[in-house]
Amino acid sequence: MKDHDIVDLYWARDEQAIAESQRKYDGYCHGISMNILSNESDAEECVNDTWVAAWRSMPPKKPSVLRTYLGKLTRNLSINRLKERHREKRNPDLVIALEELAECIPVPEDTTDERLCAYLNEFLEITPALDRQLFMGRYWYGRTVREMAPRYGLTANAVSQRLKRTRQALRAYLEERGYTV
Amino acid sequence: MKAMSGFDIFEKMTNVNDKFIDEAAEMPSPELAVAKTSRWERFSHFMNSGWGVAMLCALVAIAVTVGILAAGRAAGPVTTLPGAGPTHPTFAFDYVIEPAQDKFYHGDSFTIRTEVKNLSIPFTVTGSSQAFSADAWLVPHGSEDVFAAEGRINGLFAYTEDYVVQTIDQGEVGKHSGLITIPEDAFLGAYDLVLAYKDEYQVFEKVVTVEPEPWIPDNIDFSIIQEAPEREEYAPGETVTLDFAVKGFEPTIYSGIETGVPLERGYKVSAVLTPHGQSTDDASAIVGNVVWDTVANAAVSSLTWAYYTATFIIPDGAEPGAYDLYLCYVSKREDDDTAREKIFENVIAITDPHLLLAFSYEIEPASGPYYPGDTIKITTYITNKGDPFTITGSSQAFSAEAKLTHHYKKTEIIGQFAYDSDRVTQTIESGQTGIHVGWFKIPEDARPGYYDIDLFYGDRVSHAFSELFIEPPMTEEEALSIAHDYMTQRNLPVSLDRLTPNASLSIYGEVYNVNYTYMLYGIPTSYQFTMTVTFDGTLEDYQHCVWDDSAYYAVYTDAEVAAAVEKLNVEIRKTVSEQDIPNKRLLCFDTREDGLYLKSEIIVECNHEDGEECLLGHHHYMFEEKVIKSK
Repeated sequence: MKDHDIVDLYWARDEQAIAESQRKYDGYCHGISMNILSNESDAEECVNDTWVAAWRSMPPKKPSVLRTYLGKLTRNLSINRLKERHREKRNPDLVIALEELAECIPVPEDTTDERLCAYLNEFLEITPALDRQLFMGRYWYGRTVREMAPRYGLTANAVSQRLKRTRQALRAYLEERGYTV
Repeated sequence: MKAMSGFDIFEKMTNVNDKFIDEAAEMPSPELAVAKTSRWERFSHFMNSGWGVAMLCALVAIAVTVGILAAGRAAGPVTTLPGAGPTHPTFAFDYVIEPAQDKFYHGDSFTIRTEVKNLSIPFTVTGSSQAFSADAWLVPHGSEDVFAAEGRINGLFAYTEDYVVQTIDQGEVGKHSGLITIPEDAFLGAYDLVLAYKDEYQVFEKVVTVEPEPWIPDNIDFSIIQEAPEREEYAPGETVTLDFAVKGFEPTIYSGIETGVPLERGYKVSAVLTPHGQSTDDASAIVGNVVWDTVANAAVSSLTWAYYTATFIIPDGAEPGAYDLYLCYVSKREDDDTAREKIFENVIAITDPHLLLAFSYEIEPASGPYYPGDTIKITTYITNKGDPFTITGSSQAFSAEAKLTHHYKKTEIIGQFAYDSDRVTQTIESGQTGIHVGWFKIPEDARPGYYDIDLFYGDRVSHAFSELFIEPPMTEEEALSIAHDYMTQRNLPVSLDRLTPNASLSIYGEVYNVNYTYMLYGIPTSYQFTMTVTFDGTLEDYQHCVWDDSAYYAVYTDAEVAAAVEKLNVEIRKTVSEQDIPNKRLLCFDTREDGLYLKSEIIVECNHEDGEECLLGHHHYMFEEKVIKSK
């Protein structure tokens, strides 16, 4: 079933919408949640919560890209779940990723989501496709370097180097726009 | 201010643009990645190399979709396709562009050297001897269909007709090179390079850019720093060395296109030496092209001076006479027109090998303007710098003659040179100089414009010097014009610091009209001049004057200054000759409520010798200056 048909089911309040979403995007959402939580049962709960959140939000929402919409829901739910954990219990790979992010994005604490996303969107727009995909894979999907390297035909070291260069470029990009702390 | 934590950033990133999330949603399949491993490794190696880093901005190679070519689209020379399916070979592509640049113009060509590496299994092809080589072409950046893109620019790759059966082993690299020429009608902008072999291809984004052709003006405005040649005269077979510098003009915007001589574009500079007055269009007139030193053919920059040393070898058969040096700007493209600009006129004279003469002259007056009717005195100097020689002629025979020749119209003004009639036989020693004087009366109907001063000796040696400009005839009004700044200095010594009724003053101003003589140069002698200094004021202005008249008029010589202060109410009209005018002192006083003013008006009038007053030529010069403040 095509995405817009699934969205129509949500709008028609047809529970088949959840079944179709689960059938099509369970793996996708589960992958996002697992990368963040690194815990099977927690991830399953978050994915189940995703369908509920989707059911509650559509309508009024009518996403143009259902996959990313559901992915965002899963990501938010997983992050909220992660917040409940003690720091020491977090996924070590993710912790590293978060430290890398803090290093490359020197923005003040009170920066709004919209503003940060606006800068990220601008930066990603001018970033080469491969580097952009690696960056999003690492810092949006929470994938590990070891996981991405063989899929992109690169060595782990090459992926790390590319991510490092992209982070440096992002930092320079933000600093050029006056963002320093 | 505290920085946002990594966790906060991670959370806030959730809402970045959907397209970026979607793009990274699925990683490439492992099967596909295996085929691409070597390509990416190769790419990574390339990007990590010094060259790759340097070219990063221009040559970001992006892995592209591996697709199946439509039948017939792959224009490569391979004629036998390998088997499909799991044994399907995969390739890695690489390339080098020569010259190593990324900006080209219409008509430009560059060589592209391609490499295609077999990453997987051995396979066999039947084709030309260079069959295992990538095809290459350009498509406008972002073209969706890189095979049928509008504006596709194909490469020219030559293959031999020698058909062979080849086995391509795993890891084997096929290398090939071809030419890509940017068509005259190619789209402007960035182009992606497509390398293809068999059913694989790779797109390298923004590899080259087709730039708009710089606008080439008809007259290229180059600046020249001229340095004199070593000598003025050379004989055939000798070497002439000239030093000079060239700088292009500042680029300007013309119809939205930056013009000028861009650094990267450059223009080749050459020079030709031609007989004076002959067009460079006449190839036979060119004595020879310059032989450049080590900076030969360096690109001319619009920003910095390029210094050149031009070396000519005068051909043995070169005709004696004066020669001009033309600087030529030749675009890199050979079919462009060559623009030439004369930079040294009469830069050298080629002489008889045994008769080396050096010419020079002095002209009086030394500088213009020169008008019809003027008389010019020219003193010529001619020095024998060659071997001694003997002449038979008048007693002043070893003297150059001169003539003025209109630069364009070639009309001549012949000078009057006096010679003694005694004919003598003279031996002119090396180093001997003959000096001669001639007068040129510029005819009243002489054509205005530039004249060359030609010095010649006999009928074999001549030398032309720089141009002299004869002005159009003056009107009476022009003849009497005086520059506004001819009063170049004022000196106003003041002996009182306050003004009281009935006080006596000893104060004067001085005006030095030092330029006056210059300005009157060339006025026909039939004019006399009257200088009248007039105070322009009214009685009401002078209620506090220490003298009882409102104004006085004076032009004083130095000796008259003391007496002038006693003649306050005397109007003096004085007729002065040219020689009387410089450094006259004039006095004008005026007192008002708030101080004492020096104020005057100078009227220069002309009168014909017969007393008829000129109606033209008044010049008023006003100045007013408060010199003391009253109590």
